[in-house]
Amino acid sequence: MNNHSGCLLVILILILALNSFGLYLYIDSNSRYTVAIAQNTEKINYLADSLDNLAETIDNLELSPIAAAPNPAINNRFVRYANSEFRPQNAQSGGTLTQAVSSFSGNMNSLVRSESTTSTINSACNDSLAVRNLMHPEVFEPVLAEYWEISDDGLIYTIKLKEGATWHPYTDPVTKERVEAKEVTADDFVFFWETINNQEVPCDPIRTYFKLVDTIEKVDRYTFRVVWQEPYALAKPMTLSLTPLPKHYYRPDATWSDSEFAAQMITSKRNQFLIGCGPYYLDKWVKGQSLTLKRYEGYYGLKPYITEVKYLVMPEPNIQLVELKKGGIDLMGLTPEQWVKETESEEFITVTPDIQTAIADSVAWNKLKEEGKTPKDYQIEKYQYEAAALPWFFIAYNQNNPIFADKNVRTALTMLTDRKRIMHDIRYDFGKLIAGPFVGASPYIDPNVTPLPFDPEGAIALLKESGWEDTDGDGILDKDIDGDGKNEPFEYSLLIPNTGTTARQIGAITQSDLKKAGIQLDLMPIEWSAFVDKLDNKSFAACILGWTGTLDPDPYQVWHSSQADKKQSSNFISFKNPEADRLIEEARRSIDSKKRKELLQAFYRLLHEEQPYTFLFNAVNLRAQNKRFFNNRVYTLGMDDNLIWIPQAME
Amino acid sequence: MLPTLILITLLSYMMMRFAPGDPIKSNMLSSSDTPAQIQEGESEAAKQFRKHFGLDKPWYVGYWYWLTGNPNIPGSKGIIRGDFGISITVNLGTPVAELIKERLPPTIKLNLISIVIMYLVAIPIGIYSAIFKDSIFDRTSSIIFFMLYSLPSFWIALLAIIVISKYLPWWPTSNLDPSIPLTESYWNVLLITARHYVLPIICLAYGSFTFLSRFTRSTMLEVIKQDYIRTARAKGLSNKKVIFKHALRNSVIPLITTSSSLLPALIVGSVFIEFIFRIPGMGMLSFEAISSRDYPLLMTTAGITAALTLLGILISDITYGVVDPRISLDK
Amino acid sequence: MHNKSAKSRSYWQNVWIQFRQKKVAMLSLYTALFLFIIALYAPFIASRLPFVWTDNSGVTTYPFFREFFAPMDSKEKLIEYLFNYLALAVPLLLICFFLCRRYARYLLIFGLVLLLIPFIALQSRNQPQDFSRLEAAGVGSGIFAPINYGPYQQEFQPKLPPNWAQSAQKIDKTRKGYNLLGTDEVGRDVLVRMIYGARVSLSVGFFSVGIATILGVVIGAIAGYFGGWVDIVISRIIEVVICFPTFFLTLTIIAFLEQRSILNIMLVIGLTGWTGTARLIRGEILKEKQLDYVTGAIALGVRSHRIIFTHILPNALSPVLIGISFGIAGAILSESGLSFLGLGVATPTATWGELLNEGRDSPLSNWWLTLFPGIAIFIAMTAYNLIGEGMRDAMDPRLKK
Repeated sequence: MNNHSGCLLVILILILALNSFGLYLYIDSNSRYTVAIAQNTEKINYLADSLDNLAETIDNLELSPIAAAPNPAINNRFVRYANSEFRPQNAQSGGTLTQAVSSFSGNMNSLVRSESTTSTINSACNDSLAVRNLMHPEVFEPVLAEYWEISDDGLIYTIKLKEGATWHPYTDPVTKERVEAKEVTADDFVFFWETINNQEVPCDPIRTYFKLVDTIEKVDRYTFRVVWQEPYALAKPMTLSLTPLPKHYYRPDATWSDSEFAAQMITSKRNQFLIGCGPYYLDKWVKGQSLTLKRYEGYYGLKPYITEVKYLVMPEPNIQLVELKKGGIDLMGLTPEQWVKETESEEFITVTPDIQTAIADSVAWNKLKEEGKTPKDYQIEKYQYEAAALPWFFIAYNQNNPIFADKNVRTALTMLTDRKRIMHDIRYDFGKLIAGPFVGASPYIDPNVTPLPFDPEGAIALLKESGWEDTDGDGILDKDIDGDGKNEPFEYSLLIPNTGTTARQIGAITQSDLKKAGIQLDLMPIEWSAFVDKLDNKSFAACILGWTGTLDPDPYQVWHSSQADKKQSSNFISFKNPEADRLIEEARRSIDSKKRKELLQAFYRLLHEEQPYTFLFNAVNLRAQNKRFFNNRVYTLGMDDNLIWIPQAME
Repeated sequence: MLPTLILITLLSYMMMRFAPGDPIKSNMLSSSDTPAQIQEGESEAAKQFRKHFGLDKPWYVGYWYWLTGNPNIPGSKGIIRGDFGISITVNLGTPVAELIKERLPPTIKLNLISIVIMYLVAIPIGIYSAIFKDSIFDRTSSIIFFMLYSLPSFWIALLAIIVISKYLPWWPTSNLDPSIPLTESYWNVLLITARHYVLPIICLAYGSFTFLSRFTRSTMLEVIKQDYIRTARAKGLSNKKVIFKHALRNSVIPLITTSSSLLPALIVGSVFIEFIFRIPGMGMLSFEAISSRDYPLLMTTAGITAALTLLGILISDITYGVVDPRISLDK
Repeated sequence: MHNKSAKSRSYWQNVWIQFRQKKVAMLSLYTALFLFIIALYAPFIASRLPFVWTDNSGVTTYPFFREFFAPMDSKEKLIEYLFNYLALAVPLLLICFFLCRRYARYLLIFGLVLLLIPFIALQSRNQPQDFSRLEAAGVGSGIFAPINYGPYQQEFQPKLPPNWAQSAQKIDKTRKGYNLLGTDEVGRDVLVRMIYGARVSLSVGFFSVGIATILGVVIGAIAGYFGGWVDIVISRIIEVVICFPTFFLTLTIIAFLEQRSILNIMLVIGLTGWTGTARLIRGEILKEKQLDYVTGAIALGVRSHRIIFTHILPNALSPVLIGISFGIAGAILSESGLSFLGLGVATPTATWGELLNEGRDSPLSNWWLTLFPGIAIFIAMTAYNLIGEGMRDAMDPRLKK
């Protein structure tokens, strides 16, 4: 063999290799091509259906007052289907909404997984008995329920389901059998009750909520009763937010023992899929990349207009923004920094510049848009609004630590935390400083309580009162806290999660302010799992964390002293206060909303007084969205993707 | 080899179990990018999970379960019967084998191409600089390669993203599998896909040029000094012929043996590159597994890495033996 | 014995001559020295405290020197003490050797001990006053460093771009040398943090490689010299450590750490990086053992550790030295990689990798947080890699002309 043939051989092999790779890519994309054709045919079918849907919508709207419950006094409003008043008359069906999510749980069983994506998909695919009216959150309007009756003592809820609601048809992930649509009946709610009562099913977060439920029992095929053990303030919202659990899906084999069933609930392949009775069904799921929901055409209620909802996994916000500009995604949540610094160009238009007027602004904008009077050259709309569940942040102090046992010290530490600067520098003033554990538009906030001022001198005076003074001239405060006759310097460590940039920034700012007052703060960034470990064992001094506020709070888990000494409890700071206990218990028992408001406002005042946390701020939702969507409205509860639509010309 | 492997897996398992935090907790509470938000009311559920996955038992029992199968999980057979177990946190309930099957293709695609490019670029340059030792080309290429070697790949990746999204906004900076429009032709499909590969491959490849080209250069120099080359030269063969017929062939052999050390890199993937370009590959999988303490998944990825490294060492030993008769294996 | 040491000195002299001929290697050496000098004299370049402060009542104090001799602002006290001491000791060393060679040894020891005194005697004190503001307010006057704010001071607006890249910027008149390279996420100056970051990054490089080298040399020497079952056991251990996925090992060790201090990070990098040296030393010793002078020494009854340390090791030194230079570059990279993933040192300590991490979330709008620290890492790594390469060329007998 001479050199030339050797060289040729090498080149040949290379060409072959390159070409085969190219071929591979081609085949790969070709298979996608066929899939896309199939999708297109489906789209055409949907377009045909959407006409029918439109007619049906109009029918439904006119129907509403007639089909109400036999006892009209029970349902506050004569609505057959929740939030139908917000459905636009001229909406067209069709189109795809693509949105970015930062990560996806690999498990769609919302009983065993409580991740936010799991619950997002679940709520799109499964209906609850009733939901809150978007503008008047205190009013519940029926979805899956036809009507409900509450006994006079507030203990027994009798619920009649709508007839004709069906589970999505599906192909079983285990047996590969095709299962047709089955009707949703009272049995599916009883099955839910059985499942959360099976102690081997790890669904404690949900179980704790239903601890006070005595039983859920079937009356007839479409009627069941929920019986509460004692009067409970949250009984109504919790009963009405019940969702059915498909027995034929999760427990298809009647011969399974309870523990066998529990094991299946944890590791079965069925958790990789999901069936519900809601307006969308899970169509395709490419793990780690995308998830597609399609509109369920056999849906019993008012169908949403968008026929396909796609979630793409894009963890980095900056990559999401690039994709949004390119049109790769339609919708994303912005970080405050992106809102201020990266979405300033003409491509973007701010629809709701102010959180106070967001609702009115969005209504006005909708009107302009429908009349075609909006500026033409923008691509993306920006909204800021407060949603039902607002995250709020705090620095928590372990009350078992001798330093933080003193109320003066906690108050001084709050006064040394420059929350205004934190808000401005880190959140670009998106959000609000908070003074207690309730946030947003919660009625339980006492409007007379304002956050403590940033006041280093006052704080130092307070600390002096408690005996913290610089006695050895090293510029660091000290005090004898363990009673050994020697003064210990004021030094503690603050736990922060190592992935959280906001926590790191808050930590850095606080650290430098405390140092000026003579307090040494060490930051401890640790991994999330180790972080939780420390909270569970209460082996920490202070930490930065956040809670998500709800409309109907029950402070019991986080603030009651019965939870203080438990390991792994939400009251990880061991907060104990008899007065707080009394208020919490009474508020829990009182169904009367006025009394409950008084009690919880008193509780709010008490926590502000005690400062077990340094309450920092709550976040607001910042959203950027492609302009082709119509009926984007900000409601009291936030924005609702089930009510938006796309004109066919813009698809 | 087998005892080493067992020792490694045993040690990994032990370290993992003693490290603070456990999969159940990271499972129960989801972390987020802003200060973590806990959901209320997570308390006793952990116990059931723990029992199910055998984590209530001491670590050696857990390791035994991993080897031979967990009696609590139906269908669990243990690693010795080829069952990698079931993921706890990354994707609760999914068999680890399935997860790996999902994540392997992007990593292999990327690494294979970048290894090919590495060899294609580095070896000719190495040979050339050996032939013209101390020439300007030799010196400058050496300096440039060392500078490349000193550029942290994650930094270059970030800079690339900054520059590209500013000046070439249509150029893809994340994800390997684009959604290709329906009507594209063969060449367009190729082009679009290739664009997605360019950045990650460059970032993966450039750092390794240095090692390979310097290695080629030094083996080549060594070969050139050998007697038989001198003899060939003395025979009056042309310089070109000597180099390509005699020297090249002999210096390529050590290069082939070094390629076995690339074996683990092929499968394991680069955490940084996958992290920045958002490629759902093996590197990200192991990072997720470590940070959420997904023991079964972690054991599998760690085990695979260890096994491949061992295999690489073994292969290079064997090929050395084959190539160089002075080294005998039965010593 | 005597003869040999003379020979070895000439060997090193040869190496130095070889090395000096390489322009690139020398340039790298100068760069490395430059970085080292910046790290040493960081407080003299940028400090918030005045060297001398006279308040309006006429009282003169020396806030800078208290901080210099008894660091308080930094969390990494050990590194501060070390670099501050070296900052004074290095010139002393040079003076002793260039000016008065005759009494150099005594002078040096005396000077070094004398220098220790203020470091031991002075008690550290928290000095929270903002002297530059005080001076601007007319409360007193002082002499400041060229840049009059420190690396931990949140002096500016957060995430300000470099001043030359800004169209309009309000400049704080009390601040000299205001943010030439922009500010970080809480308004600290990037340039000043990079200057102080050189201290941390360089010490990570040196110490973790030091740990790795010492471990590697000792373990490798033991394995190579004793052979037999010791060798088998140690070789197995080395094999296990090599096959252990480094990333997994590092992350797991970090999970065990309570305090994310730089010393711990050094330990982690050091403990995972010793296998190369160990294998190398073992191989060298196995080779050297066959040579006559060692068999001769054994025959003479010299004790084993003496043989290792006085005879074998010096001969295996050159590959180790090359390894150290490359290792320093590798350790700087490891530290920045760890910090980049959020697994590095805790704030407020400044390192180059930590700055990179701050810029990671939104690299588009905070490009200066990515660009400049990366350049620093790049320069340091290139310098040490090229020094290593230069040493390899200079020491490699085969490549000698």
